[in-house]
Formats: sequence, C-alpha cells, structure tokens
Amino acid sequence: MVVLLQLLLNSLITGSIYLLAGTGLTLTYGLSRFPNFAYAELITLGGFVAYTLLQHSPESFWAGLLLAFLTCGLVSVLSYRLVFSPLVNRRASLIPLMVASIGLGYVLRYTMGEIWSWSDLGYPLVWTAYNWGGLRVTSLWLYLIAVALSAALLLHLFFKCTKVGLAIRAIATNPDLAQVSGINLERVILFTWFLGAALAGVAGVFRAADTQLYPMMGWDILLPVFAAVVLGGIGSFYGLIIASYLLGLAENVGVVFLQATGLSTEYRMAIAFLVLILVLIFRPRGLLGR
Amino acid sequence: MACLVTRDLVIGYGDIVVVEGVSIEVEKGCLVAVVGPNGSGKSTLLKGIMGLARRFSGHIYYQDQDITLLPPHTITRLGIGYVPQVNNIYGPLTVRENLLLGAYFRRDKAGTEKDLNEIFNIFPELARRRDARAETLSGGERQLLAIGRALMGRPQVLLLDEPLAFLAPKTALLILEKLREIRERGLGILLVEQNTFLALENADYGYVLNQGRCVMEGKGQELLSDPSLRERFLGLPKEVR
Repeated sequence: MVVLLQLLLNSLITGSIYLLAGTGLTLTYGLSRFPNFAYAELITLGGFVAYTLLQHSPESFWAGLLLAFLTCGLVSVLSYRLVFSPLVNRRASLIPLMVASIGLGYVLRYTMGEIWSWSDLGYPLVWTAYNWGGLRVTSLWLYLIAVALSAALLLHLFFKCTKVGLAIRAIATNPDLAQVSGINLERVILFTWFLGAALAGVAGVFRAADTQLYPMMGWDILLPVFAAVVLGGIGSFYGLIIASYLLGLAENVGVVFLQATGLSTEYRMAIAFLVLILVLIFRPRGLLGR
Repeated sequence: MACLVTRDLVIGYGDIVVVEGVSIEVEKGCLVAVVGPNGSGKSTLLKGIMGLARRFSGHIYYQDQDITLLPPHTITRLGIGYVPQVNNIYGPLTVRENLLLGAYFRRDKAGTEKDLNEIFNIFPELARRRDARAETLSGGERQLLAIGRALMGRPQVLLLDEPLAFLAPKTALLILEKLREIRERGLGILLVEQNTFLALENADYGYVLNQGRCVMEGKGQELLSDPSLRERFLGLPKEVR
C-alpha cells in the first residue's frame, strides 16, 4: 500500500515538472505554430537566476521563484521580438523557425555556462522531510505539486473567464479571423510567450532544488517534456495536464518494474517513450489533439 | 458622403497582382454589390481593404480617413466589419464566445451585453444554440453567426464575401432579408457575390469585376437589364421579357 502511494506521489512530482515546463511549449505552439526548442534553456535560466538570489539570501526561495518567473518571461519576450518576430514577418516556415530556436538555445546555454558554472551546483537549502507511515515526503515536493496544480487551475479559469484567454483560444483556432475581430495578434502572442516561459522558469527552480543545477539541465528534461506535449496533443493545454501525469506515472511504474527485474533504472525514459509511441499509434494527434 | 471609398486600388499576393486599379464607393444605408466571374478579384478586393492582402498602390478611405496601410485589427476597430467566405467562425468555441469575440476590442461591457441580446433578437436561430459549439451549426446558421460576430463590433460598414455560396435557396433568401434589415439600421454593406442575379436584385448599386478590373457599374436594377451583362454573366437572353 505504502509502495503504491509512494509510486503515485513520485508520479505527481515528475508530472508536475513536465506540466509547468510544457505549458509554454504547448501554448506558444498553439499560436505561433512551431516548437520552440529554446524552452530548454528557459527552464535552466530559471534555475540559475534563483540560485544567484539564494546565494545572497538563502531564505528567499519564494522570491527566487518570482524572480525566475519574471526573468524567463522577459527573456522569452525579448527573444520573440529580436529573433522570431522578424522571421515570422518574413513568412519563415516551420523549419527555419525551429532551427533558429535551437540556435538561440545554444547561445543562451553557453552564455549561462560562462556566467554561472559548467559544473553541478546545488541550492543551499534544506527541506523538511516527513515520514507518513513509511511514505517519504519533503516540503519541496508538496510545494511543487501545489504550485503546478494551482497554475493549471488558474490557467483554466484564465482561458474560460477572461477576454485575453478567449482571444488566445480564438487565435489558436483561426488567426486570420482573430485579426479581423479586432484582436492585436502580436500583443496576445507576446503575452503567451511571457506567461509560458515564466512557468518554465518556475519548473527550472523546482528541478534545480530537487536535483542539481547545470547548463544542460533544461535540455535533459526537454525530451520528456516534449513527449508530454505531443502525447497530450500539441497545442492542447488540457491534453498536456493529462499527459504530464500519465507520463510521470509511466516513468515511475517503469522504475519499479526495472528494479524488480534487476535492470538499471536508466531505462525508465525508454519505458515512458514506449507509452508515448503506443498512444500515438492509436491516436496520432495525441490524447486531446484536434 | 460615402463611408468607404477605394481609389485605383491595386491588390495581390506576394508579387502577383490580382486587382488592377478598382475604385468603388459605399454609402451609409446602402447595399453595394460586387459581382463577376470566378477569379475576377472580388474576394481579393475585400481582403485588400481589410489589410489581409498586399496593397501595391491606390488608396482606401474610411470616413475621410486614409486607412490604406493600417493593419487588419486597427481597420476592424475603426468600424469595418468583415465576414470572410470560408473559415468565418471559431469552430471549437461556443456561439456566444464567437459573438463576444466580435466585440473583443470594445470597452463598454453593458453595451456589449445589450448588443449580444440584440443579435439574438435579429437571429433567433442563434439564440437557441448559444452554448453549442459553432462547428455543430448548419451552413446557414454558421453564416448568420459569422455576420452576427462582425456586427458585434458595431461597424459602420459591413464587408461580406459570398455569404450565399453553398446555401439552400431558402436559406439564401433568409440571409438577404437579414442584410436588408441591417441596411435599414444605417449600415453600409459591401456584398461580394457569385450569384449575380440575387445580388444585383437586392443591391442599391453594383460593380461588375472582370479579370481584376471594374468593367461596369450602375444601379442594381439597371445593371440587371443591361443586355451584355445579362448575356455574359447571367446566361439570360439579352432582352428583358
């Protein structure tokens, strides 16, 4: 029983990271129609800026989250304005935009490596650990799950109840009609780029706090994050919520299975991707893709 | 004074010119039809006015203001409503959300709510389906929704791209009746139509486009009785019987 609960908890933790990191990816894909690989570096950047703040005042974890939120959002908006907007205006197709995002990712990654460090860093934080009848929990994990689920709930309300949320859904379904409905496309798109990257930054802080911080950190989780985005149906936010936790579950069930058969837990990604491939064979557009 | 005027407008896509110098005028409270065969540049003319196609040269004036180089969302906000021929609704969104998007840029919440009810009065077909997803509507209902969405922005001029295409004759007549109702409210309507007869019969003024140029213009009924137009575009005998 406790083993099962621990498994579910671990899945929630993994899934929450994927959800926070993938939201921006799926939202910006829905509006701008290309996968932005530089999201990997935005995740990492969140981890680094919070690290710097924690170096100076180790008590300010929540301020670190906020700083990561704002910094990553701003860097993303700047990158759209300086790199992607000119390309979009010249009607660049999917591949040039994608390659540009990979290029931007490299620039950001190496810049971060030079500014901070190429070796593993750790946050100077100690989390309260609980033992609930054998179930191991830390306060960090509880914060992570709470933040991810509240973000999902707030985003849901934002999409359903606000004008800008409605405009985002409108642009995702019919950008031309959105323009002649009087919606300023560029402004709404910039807003989504901010919000999505800000959440990716938050994911980066949690990831760094839970494991280690290094320039490749974001890149290392980008693949499963992409898997969650594709599994949910690229562009679908609700699909992403389901897919993130499903993938988290698959990964952690995989770990248990691998341990039981005496294989290395290094293979857990393979199991997660096996799930992805199986789902895509039956639902090529993902769980909730249109 | 005309509400919407184009002067020698040249429009196209990329490097290709489709509309080669067209000048039209739409007065308030008038239904103006633009007719012509397939590929004559009717739709492109509307896209050019809205800023959705490339404007090579010429001018567009709206209430004496030069709007030639403004982006689509600004043109919409000034008071020009546009109903595209295809993809003119937000399929996965509800009927109500579609209509609210037409009023996206308006700040007066009370006025928007009032107009929403008025649209539901003009189009009771939509009121019944207000919470249904737009993609579940019938062809005629979709067209009504598309027009309703454009009206929610409180336009002075309404541009319609072939709203009668693919509709059953009865539905087409219903739409025309609604358009006359909208005209009575003082709006100028620019109607692009493939169905030449139906359009000119209901129009105050008409323009005939062929290969990107305006080849004929005049009062709707006058054009309809023009022998060469009857023969070339209507497939009717030259003489009115």
